[in-house]
Amino acid sequence: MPHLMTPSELDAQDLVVLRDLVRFGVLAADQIARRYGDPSLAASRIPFLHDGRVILTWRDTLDGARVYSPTSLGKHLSHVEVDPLSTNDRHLAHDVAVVDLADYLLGHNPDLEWRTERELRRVLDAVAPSRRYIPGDNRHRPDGLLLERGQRVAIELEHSDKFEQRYTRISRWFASEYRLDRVRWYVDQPRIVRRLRQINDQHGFARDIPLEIEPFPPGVVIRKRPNRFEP
Amino acid sequence: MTWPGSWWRSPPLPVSTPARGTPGLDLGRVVAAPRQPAPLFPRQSFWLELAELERHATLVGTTGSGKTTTLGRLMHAAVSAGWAVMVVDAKGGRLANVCRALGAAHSLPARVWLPGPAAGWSYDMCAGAPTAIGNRLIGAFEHGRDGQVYRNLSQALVPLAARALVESGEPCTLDTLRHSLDEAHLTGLARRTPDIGLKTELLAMLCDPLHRKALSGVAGRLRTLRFGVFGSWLLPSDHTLDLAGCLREPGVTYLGLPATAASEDVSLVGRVLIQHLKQIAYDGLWSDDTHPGLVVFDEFTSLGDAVQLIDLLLQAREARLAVVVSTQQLPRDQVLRKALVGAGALLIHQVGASEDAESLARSLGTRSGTEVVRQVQLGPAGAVVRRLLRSRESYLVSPDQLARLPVGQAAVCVRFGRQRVAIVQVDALPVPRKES
Repeated sequence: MPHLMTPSELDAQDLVVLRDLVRFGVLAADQIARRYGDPSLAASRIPFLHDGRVILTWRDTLDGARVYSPTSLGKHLSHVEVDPLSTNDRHLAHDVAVVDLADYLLGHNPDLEWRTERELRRVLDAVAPSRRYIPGDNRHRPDGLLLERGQRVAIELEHSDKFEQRYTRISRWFASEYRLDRVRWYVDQPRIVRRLRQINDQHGFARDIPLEIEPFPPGVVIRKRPNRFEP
Repeated sequence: MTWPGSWWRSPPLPVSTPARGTPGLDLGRVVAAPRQPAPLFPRQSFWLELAELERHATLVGTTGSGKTTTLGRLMHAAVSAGWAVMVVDAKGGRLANVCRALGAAHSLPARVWLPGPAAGWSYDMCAGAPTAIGNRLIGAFEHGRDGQVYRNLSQALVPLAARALVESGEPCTLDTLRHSLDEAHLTGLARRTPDIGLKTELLAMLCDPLHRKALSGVAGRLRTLRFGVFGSWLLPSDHTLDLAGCLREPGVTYLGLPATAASEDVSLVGRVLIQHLKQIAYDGLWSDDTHPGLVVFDEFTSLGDAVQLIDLLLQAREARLAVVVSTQQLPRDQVLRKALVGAGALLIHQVGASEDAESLARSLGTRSGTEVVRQVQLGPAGAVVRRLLRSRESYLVSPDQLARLPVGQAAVCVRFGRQRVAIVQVDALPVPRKES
């Protein structure tokens, strides 16, 4: 019978890590270490949390770093209420990059607040009720929400070039979501920048909601998964 | 032509010139006239006062029966009297040239709005106050019996969106209004609107699926207008027609809707025009300085059963707008039909449809009288002959006569003031050409 961790076994720093794991869905080993503030402490606590069935390890590493997600027990122990979104292993690199982005932005401006995509609905519903969706409505969930000087800025981290129609749908959602004040895209490819600008100008969404497109900040990269076919 | 039962005629007068002091027109020579209180006899001229058109006129006749000629006479008289003339031509044809010629002959501006010519006029259907825009557009759209809820919702939505556009510093045109009624763009408009109350109202619309369906319906119809045949000419430009201004001063304005080119758009644009004219007429009710005007609808049938005309007829007289409706057939809608048949002046050329001939003949009037009927009974004592008096009602102009009127002849009936009925030969007025 494996040992299941109890709340009394978690210290304050464990809880910080666990809460962020539940909020973001995933954290890489270096991101967990950043939260502990001491890599050696992180190196000792991660196996402890893992053995206590609080976190689980993804099979794939990203740029050699292990990636962790909370278990059901971990979610329970964190006392954080978020939307039950599952993490897809194909989006692992993207989700880890979003954590890097959030850490960078919060690190450079402590006045900012970051809400993850799992917290988004609750934050927006506290502002105003959501419109009632009717069949055919498109739905979208941005990667995060930045609370900046009383404004709600939707954050989208984009690195995979999508079809124009998909970007149109997403941009339309941002334009029609009246609880958002601005939208900011972090994009790493000039081609995506061009496409986004063109779509927003063509459909007039740029007039409906202020749009900002910025490059990935330093330290934010899409980490690579190991190629299993490499010798 | 002889009239059944007419056995007495007074000697014909050389010329009938009643009330020549008032502006009017010599419509043509009387061919025949039934017995009536008015002294009207064959070979006289039929003088029609323009004031008699202010209770509206209906002109009915099959194609080629002479309607356009009669309209030309009415327009010429109105222009000569210094009236403003506006023609809504749902055929989009010959009357444009008549208007140009009339304007040139009287040295008056002739504005021709006809899709096609690049340097022509444009018509801004979103001009005016937000409530007027809403009333004009939503009133022009058809909503079935089950769609009344959407009509009511749209009546609220369009003025709000128009107001938000104006308050956020944007012009309200067909393009901007159509664009802003899209759900995503309406949210954007709400974000830009400085008025918190208006913003709340706009956002409340977006929360309700029924409102959103209504929005989608209005946006779709505006899109039909914008990208239809007339779309490019429905936006403001350097040459935008000011309909109210056109009716405030002498001049000729022509709005051509070529039905054969775009039958679907014609009824929609035509109805918007009627709604707009209705609003101008309403504004005229409160003005101390009304200018008389003649509004002509040619080929009214092409607008479908445009029931919007009923409201225009209700208030045009007080605003001194004489509305002349020219049509090949009477409309199917009973209320509209009654409004047209009950006009102050009826000018009926050859009528094609028999049911129309029947109801028009009845509108021209009937005469009640008695007749002697001989009844022969054969009995054992031989034949017994009795004479009976029986009441009899006969048409002043029978449906058969209306159906067989020669080209150019019209049964004319004026039903208010000096009431009179006659069959008149309406001859074409040679439109004076400008000397080159």
